[in-house]
Amino acid sequence: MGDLREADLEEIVRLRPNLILISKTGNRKAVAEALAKVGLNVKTMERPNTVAGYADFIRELGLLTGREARARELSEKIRKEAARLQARTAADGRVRTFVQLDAGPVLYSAGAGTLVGDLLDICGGENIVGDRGRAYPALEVEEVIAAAPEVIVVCVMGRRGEAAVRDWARFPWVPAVAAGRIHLLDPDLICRLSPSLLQGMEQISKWLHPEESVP
Amino acid sequence: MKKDLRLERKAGLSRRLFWFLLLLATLGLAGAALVLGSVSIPLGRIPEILLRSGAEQGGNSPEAVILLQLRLPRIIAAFLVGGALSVAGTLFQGLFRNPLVEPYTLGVSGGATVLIGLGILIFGPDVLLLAPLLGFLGAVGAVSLAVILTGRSGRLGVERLLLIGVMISFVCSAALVGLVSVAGLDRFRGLLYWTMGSLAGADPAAVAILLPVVGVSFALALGRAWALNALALGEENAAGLGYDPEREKRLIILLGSLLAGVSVAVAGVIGFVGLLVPHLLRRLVGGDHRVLLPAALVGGGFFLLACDTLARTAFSAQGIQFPVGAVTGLLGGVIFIALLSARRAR
Repeated sequence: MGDLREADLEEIVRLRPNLILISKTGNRKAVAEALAKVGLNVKTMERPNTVAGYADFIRELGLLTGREARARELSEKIRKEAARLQARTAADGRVRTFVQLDAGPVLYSAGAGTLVGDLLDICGGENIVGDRGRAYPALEVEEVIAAAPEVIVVCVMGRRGEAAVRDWARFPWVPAVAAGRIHLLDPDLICRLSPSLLQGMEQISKWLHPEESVP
Repeated sequence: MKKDLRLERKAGLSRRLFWFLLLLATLGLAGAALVLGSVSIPLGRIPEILLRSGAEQGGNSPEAVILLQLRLPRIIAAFLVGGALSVAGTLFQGLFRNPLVEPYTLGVSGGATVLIGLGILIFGPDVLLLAPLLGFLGAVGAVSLAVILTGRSGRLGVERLLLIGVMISFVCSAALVGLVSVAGLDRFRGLLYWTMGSLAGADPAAVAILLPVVGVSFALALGRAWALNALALGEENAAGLGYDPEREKRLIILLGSLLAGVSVAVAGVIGFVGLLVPHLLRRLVGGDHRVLLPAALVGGGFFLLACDTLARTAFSAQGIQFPVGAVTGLLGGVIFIALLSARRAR
């Protein structure tokens, strides 16, 4: 209802939902208070920024919606899958990786303390962005090429994503470019809170550590 | 006869000293911009890197690529875009005899943004790949529209044109808000960044477009310097001196929108350069367009290069890349207000 910044309160009240989830970061406190005042069931939740945190998030959601069993199942699956992928690549060493979240001209990426950063860690990647005290830092192209990533994951859909991949060909000596290890990934798979996170994780793990290289 | 048109210089700064300082500062700044960046390349190594890459044809070392394919094109593009905007501002200000006119007050930025926004709404975000072309067409389209609407009444009235330009800007920004509301903020992420102006995408291809367009437009504009000086004396006087005011006005507006349009195409919307730089320079070198126009080219280039270098490097270690439009707006706005206050206090 409404958009990211402005909730359409009248419409929400009219629909009288059983449960309203409010993200702690995205919404103003006043919205939560106004909705609670008219007797709606409002729950404020922190957006998880680790894969384990996402598993907990699912469980809590299950409690709130009365689907505890299914939620626990999914939550366990996520934890197990993360542990499996982590174990799978543990012996293979870290792969220097750049995750590109925007088609440019400024290159946005995800650093430490983000879901994408944690996911990369689980998949055996070394994030070239590191920790800059910002969740989603902007980088200059020269920084990326000087960091010599072995894999580049471009999370942009459509022709702009394809163009962004092509653009890297300007720097043929960057290891990821030389080895043809630049991949397009649907951002919905890793940037949204949904079970398709599993799919995204699996995919990135395979790109970073292809079957043949895993001992 | 023409000698009488030389407008009196207001400032006492000797012209030779002015040019010496401006060129020296610009070269120094360009050198600094070449050295500064997230990847540190010591100044002493730069000649060696450049020489070696010359020998290797193209230069394959990462440092040579960073210098020649990333930093140098961006420096040249910043200089040319800044120069183009400032020359456009000088042309419009001279023509309208109003120091508040710049490409953006004539609807250039609004036209460019709305056309790209419409493209995104109809064809999806992929259309951002065509943003330079759409931006150029939108910018030139908006100015032409302003001129056509004004021209209906016969002669080009300066106040009328200015008013129509401002109205076009208003209508365009309202239309943009409408577009974003209809299609959702998400689809317009790329566009919003573009409207703040950035030189991050300036590559050798951008320089290859800018160089001829800015070069030719500037040369043609310089050829109109006498006409601009004549128009500054009033249209009747200009006509008395043998210039056709209507023809000159159309030509100057066309050149100004061409310069603004190509800037928008390469760097998105960058405000304040076209307003502040001509205003400052007119105080320094006076109102003679034969001097003012070249000074605007170099001065505008200097100003935007300084702003872009700041935007690019100031907080890059923290992962922040400012859009250059934000820096020009902030710096330009503060300087402009300071100038106005200083003048009032005097």
